[in-house]
Amino acid sequence: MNTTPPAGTLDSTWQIGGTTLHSRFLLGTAQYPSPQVLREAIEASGSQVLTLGLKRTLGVTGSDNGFVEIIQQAAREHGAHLLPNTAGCRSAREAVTLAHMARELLGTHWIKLEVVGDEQTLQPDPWELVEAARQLVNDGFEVLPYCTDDLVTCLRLVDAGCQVLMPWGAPIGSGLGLLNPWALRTLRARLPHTTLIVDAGLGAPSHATAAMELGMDAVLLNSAVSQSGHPVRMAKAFRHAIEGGRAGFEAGLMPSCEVAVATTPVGGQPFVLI
Amino acid sequence: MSEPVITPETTPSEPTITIRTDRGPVQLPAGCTVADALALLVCETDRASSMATAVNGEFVSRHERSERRLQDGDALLLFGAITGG
Repeated sequence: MNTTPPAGTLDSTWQIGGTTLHSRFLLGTAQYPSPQVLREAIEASGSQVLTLGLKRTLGVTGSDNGFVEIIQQAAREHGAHLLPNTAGCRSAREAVTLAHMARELLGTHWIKLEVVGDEQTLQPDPWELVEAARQLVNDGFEVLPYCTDDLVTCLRLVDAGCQVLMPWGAPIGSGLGLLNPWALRTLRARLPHTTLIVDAGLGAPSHATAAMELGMDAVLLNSAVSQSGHPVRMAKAFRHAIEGGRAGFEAGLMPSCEVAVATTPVGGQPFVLI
Repeated sequence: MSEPVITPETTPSEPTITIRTDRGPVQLPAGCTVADALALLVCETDRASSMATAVNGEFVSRHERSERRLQDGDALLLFGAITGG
């Protein structure tokens, strides 16, 4: 399957809901060792989209050690956009409610839509996901659904009005990389006008490069940076890996084949006369 | 429902309702609004403004809080932003 971009269509920028972005690295903000490390990782990543979550509070004075303030401050300083999620939701109704709350709290109509259908794999529930997407699109949201790489589910999400899809590479937090490159390649080929962001499961910069080489528009990850030995360095490593993968895709990868093809033009064996 | 853990000043003859919250059951004067409940549960005004509210799983916007009256047995939940992936 040919995923090489057609000549003349290349553009180093991309868009979410009409907003032009330069960085193709969306960064999650959870599980960093300190607010300062998170701030430095954001800077090192060059990310223009930062994810947040919502949680029930007890209605009492408490502190998150300043993480949320750091995220909002970094977003202001770097012109980054906040992307709240609906993590923890198990039904369309829950996700729709949480999305409305996020819009009020954070002042954005962008929503990373998550509706989990299985507790062990945290695999999205396709039925609830599509239903929630349909409702939220109608309510004026820019819906970025976290989904599997299942083609039919992705087609239904596009039918529901989603212009951006976020298929998984592997289950959240697993670090397994791209479990099914064929499925992602198929999505790219079948949905050429839909923005595709690989979200979840990436563990190494090389995984991000591979995703970008498949023609994905961007990558969203969290644990691979926050759980690494040095989150700031890892953020920088992913930044370069994503840029490299995208550049490779835009340049067009050579066709692969199952047998060797001699590179040096020696014209046969050097000492054999025919 | 267990005994209310929070009770604002009410007169014995005043009708009350009991709502459910993450802090346990809360007894309130009948007819009170989401805004009234929030004022009781969250002391700091700025902190209340950084919270979103839902009653029985349905979003109640900031603009609706002073109009939305609570009923006995309602579940009032408060949400705030956290880090996330």
